[in-house]
Amino acid sequence: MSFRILKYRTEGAMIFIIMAFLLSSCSDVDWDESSNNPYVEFKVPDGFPNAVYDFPQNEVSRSRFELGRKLFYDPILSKDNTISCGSCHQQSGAFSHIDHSVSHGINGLLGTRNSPVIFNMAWHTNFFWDGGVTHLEFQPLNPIQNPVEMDETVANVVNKLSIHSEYPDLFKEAYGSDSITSQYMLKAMAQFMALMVSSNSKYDKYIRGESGGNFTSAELNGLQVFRQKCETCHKEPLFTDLSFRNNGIDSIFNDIGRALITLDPNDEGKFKVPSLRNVTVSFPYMHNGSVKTLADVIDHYNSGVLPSATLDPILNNGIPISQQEKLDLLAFLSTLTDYEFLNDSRFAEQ
Amino acid sequence: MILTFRTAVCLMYLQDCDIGHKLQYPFITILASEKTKTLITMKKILTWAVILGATSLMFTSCKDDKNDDPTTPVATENPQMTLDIGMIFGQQTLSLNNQTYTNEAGEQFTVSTFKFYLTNIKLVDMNNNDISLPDSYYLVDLADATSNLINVKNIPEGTYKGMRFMIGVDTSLYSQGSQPGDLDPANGMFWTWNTGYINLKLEGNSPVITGNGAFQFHIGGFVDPNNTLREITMDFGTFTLNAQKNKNPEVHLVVDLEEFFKNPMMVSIASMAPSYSIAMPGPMANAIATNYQDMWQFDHIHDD
Repeated sequence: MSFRILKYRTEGAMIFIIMAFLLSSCSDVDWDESSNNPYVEFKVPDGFPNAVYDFPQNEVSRSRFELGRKLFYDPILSKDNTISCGSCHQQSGAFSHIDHSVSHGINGLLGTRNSPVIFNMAWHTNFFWDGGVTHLEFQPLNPIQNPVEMDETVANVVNKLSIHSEYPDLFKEAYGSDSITSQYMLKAMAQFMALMVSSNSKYDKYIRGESGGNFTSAELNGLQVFRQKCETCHKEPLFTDLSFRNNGIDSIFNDIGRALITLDPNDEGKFKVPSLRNVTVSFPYMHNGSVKTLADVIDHYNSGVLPSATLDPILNNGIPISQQEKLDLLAFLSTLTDYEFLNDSRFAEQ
Repeated sequence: MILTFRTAVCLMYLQDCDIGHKLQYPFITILASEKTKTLITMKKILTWAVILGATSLMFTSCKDDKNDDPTTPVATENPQMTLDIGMIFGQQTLSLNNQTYTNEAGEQFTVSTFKFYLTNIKLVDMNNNDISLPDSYYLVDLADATSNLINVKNIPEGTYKGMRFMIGVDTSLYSQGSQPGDLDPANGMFWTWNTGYINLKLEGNSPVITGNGAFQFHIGGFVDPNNTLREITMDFGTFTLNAQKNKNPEVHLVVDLEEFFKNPMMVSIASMAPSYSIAMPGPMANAIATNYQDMWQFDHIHDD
């Protein structure tokens, strides 16, 4: 590009505009001044498999992440503007509903299943206890429209956002869109959730050989017990094999679980294996929240498994666990609590 | 300024002026002028621009110029067609709420909602080749009079003797996450608890339900053995579709809702008690999809 061209002021101005346009595509990466890292980015943690969420079609940016976060904590998503996602998905409970077997939606209506944790969603190909939703971007539609949760229509949420004092500008900034659509709303929420990665527990530091990862002898023994007796379903490093199994909570099913989706009688009473990361803070347990403590969970597998036609074959005789093994297992399970994740201010309501 | 640059580029390289059509965005036009600069000095361009700009105003041979003039209707370069979908119930015109219809089982009812997805259009050429029209996903809604006129742009030039399309949204989209426009879940044609589009939705009221209650038949499901996607094949018979530049022939189809309730399976509203609804994939939805597979009939084509 010669200087001669720049002599022409209109040309110079045009070039300047083009350059500004090209550079503006980078301005979305907001840097966290204290750490000199991007405010948000997606990295597959060491030892994790590749993520399945397609980030390239929803490129990570601070404005998208923050829009998703604002939506997550905004009761505007519910019919009477009283319930937000954050109402039943609390950060200190690894985004489950602390101490609630089931949760209440609008007008105090109760759901039928335990509010699941939200983290490491980028590795999941289906969502909810029955796996009925097959894409993270479709996930928020379910609680929004469920009559006992938010009981709102997607169309009306979009209307409410469109006349809001802040959202139109935020959507414009995040997606360059002059109008608010469900597509951008869902992408923003999916981005917020997909960036919730929990991979810095004491266990992770132990595996990576980092400081803070020194296991006690009880924790080491517990890891051994875990790998012998739990690992099949709660597979490392996600601590779930993402399968659907009947773990013997019921003999007669009030909730047929996976079979609601597949219509296959062989799937009755099966639910998605939950991750054990952050399990100490995500009580109560099981798809219906019927088990209150981790000790009770271990007792269930040891001696409380109920028979049924679809019971997972590996539980036919329960899982014998001695008292010492139980104590060690509890010690190990507490190493899966990721305090950095639970206290990460980026994921908190602002 | 931009227009004259474009005209200059267009004429200086003796290129077909159609190329100018691709340069309608100022950004691209500027890049094109940058390229020119490496060959010719700016001074020359400005001189040429003034001369040739004036020339082009006198000889407005570039088709593209029409597009820049907001007062003339926009001429479409590529062939297009419009599907005009007439909706009937047997011998009656289909309309919302006021008209009463009687199904094969002898039950009277009115219609409050009738919507379906018409997707994956393919044209069948004279050699029986299927020509797929990409991204063809359309939601047709009886309540929206504009939605039964589907304008399909950029169809390949040629002569066609038939067409195929699907009723419903195919699985290829499900892995791509949230979609805009006709595929927006806000259209109410999406199951939120069991991912999948509702391929066809029929709702109404019938005196066979206590208090002239409502029925809701939501037909969807894309997993075997209850995959409700159906491909419809239409032979244009003695008609042909001539897809030519600047032409927009109308292909008239007729949807006969009577077929929903019969052939091969007679569907009785009363038999759906107590819910009077179909709200999930399953054998019933699949059977009705087989019923309505022959609901779509070709009527005629006329050139615009």
